[in-house]
Amino acid sequence: MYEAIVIGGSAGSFNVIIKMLNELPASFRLPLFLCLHRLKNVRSGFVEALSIKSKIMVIEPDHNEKIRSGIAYLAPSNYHMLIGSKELILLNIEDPINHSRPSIDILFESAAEVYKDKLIGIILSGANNDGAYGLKKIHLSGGLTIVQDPKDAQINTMPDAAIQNTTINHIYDTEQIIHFLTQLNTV
Amino acid sequence: MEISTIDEKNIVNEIYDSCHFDFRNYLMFRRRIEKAVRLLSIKDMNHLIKKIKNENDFSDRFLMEIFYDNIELFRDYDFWIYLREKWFRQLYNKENKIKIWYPDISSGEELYSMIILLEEIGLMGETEILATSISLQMLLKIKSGSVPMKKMNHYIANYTKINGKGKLSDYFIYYHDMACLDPLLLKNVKFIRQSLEDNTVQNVNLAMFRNRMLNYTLPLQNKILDIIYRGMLPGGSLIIGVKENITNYYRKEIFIPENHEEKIFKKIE
Repeated sequence: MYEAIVIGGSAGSFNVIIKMLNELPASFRLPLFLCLHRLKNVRSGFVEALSIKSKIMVIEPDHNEKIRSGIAYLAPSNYHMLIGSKELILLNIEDPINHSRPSIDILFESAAEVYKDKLIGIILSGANNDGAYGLKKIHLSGGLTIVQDPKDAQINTMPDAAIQNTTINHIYDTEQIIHFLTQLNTV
Repeated sequence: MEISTIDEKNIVNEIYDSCHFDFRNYLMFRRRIEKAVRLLSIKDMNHLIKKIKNENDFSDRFLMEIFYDNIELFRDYDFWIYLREKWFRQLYNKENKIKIWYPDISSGEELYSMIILLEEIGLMGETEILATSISLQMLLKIKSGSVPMKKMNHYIANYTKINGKGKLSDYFIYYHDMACLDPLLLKNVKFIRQSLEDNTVQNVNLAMFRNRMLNYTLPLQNKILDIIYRGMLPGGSLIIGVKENITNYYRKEIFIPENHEEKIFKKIE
């Protein structure tokens, strides 16, 4: 039923993502698109850090990268990552949104346009509002919206902003998010 | 304001009819129109189309706002360090002038970074730089050397990362809300107004094409890479953005990878 998952996070989300990647099975069927705010000029090391115990392959896509199932695509430093179609990832260098490039809003909005109600959007811990607008777009396009419980998040600004901005289908802590995603694989 | 697909089509058609420029194969063009519309405070699509049709100055300005890229000075500092330490110093014999080309230039800062770098390694006198664009206003804007003052601190931080020789502010004249690259440094850059289809630039040693292919659909990428290829000398280098590639170029074997990290390719000899 669902065809893709987009995840946005900033400060405090790293550990959640690591746990998620370590616990999701190698057979995970859906592509995962990760937009994590990151040090701008650090071009390598992040993928390696996420990959250490991950059962899912983590890639930083080039522009025009083909989308394959069961891969986690990490938005590269200093580019916005967009979903061009169900087959293609596009990158661009538009201005940062709220000082963020890659921007969660840009990823989420483009994903909502392509995947519509087949999309799951997840907002994690972070210190700014990036993603609140994008998650709303996902909701308006019929997708499923999940936010990390502000009480569980290391920094609750980003989850709170999302909750204020749109209808959230599930407010989950880290364990519940991972459990939910793992269940998807068996459908 | 959000542009509908029909609006986009109408605008593309009007630009084609009035400016003879074909944007049908540009990626995410709608986003670019939205950006230009915001910058020019346009509220009515019909009004926009009329202005493109009837006002040459406006349509040229509109094209410029669509394509101007706000790229930071010394974006990807690893790349600039490599260019300075390896590409210019070691990979080049300095018998003839080094001809550098910016096809379809869309960023002042990419050019200014190169100029500052060349000045610091003493190669300004040994290079010839050409920047081409279909938009006159784009060329004028880039030729003016201006950068927003509010970005200078950021640019100074980037300049520090490349271990620049002096102080970045030494290369700029400060005004109130902008800084301008010293005009003397831009004196020897040739700005040529022409479309890539009508390209006259030849015998290029280095084609600087970073983060330009992000704009084009694959058929257009193929066409443009063909044009750039023909403008280059055998053994010359093509540099694209660090997250771009030529894997989908239908003749990719004519460009040999020279450096994988920094996306430098050599035209086959």
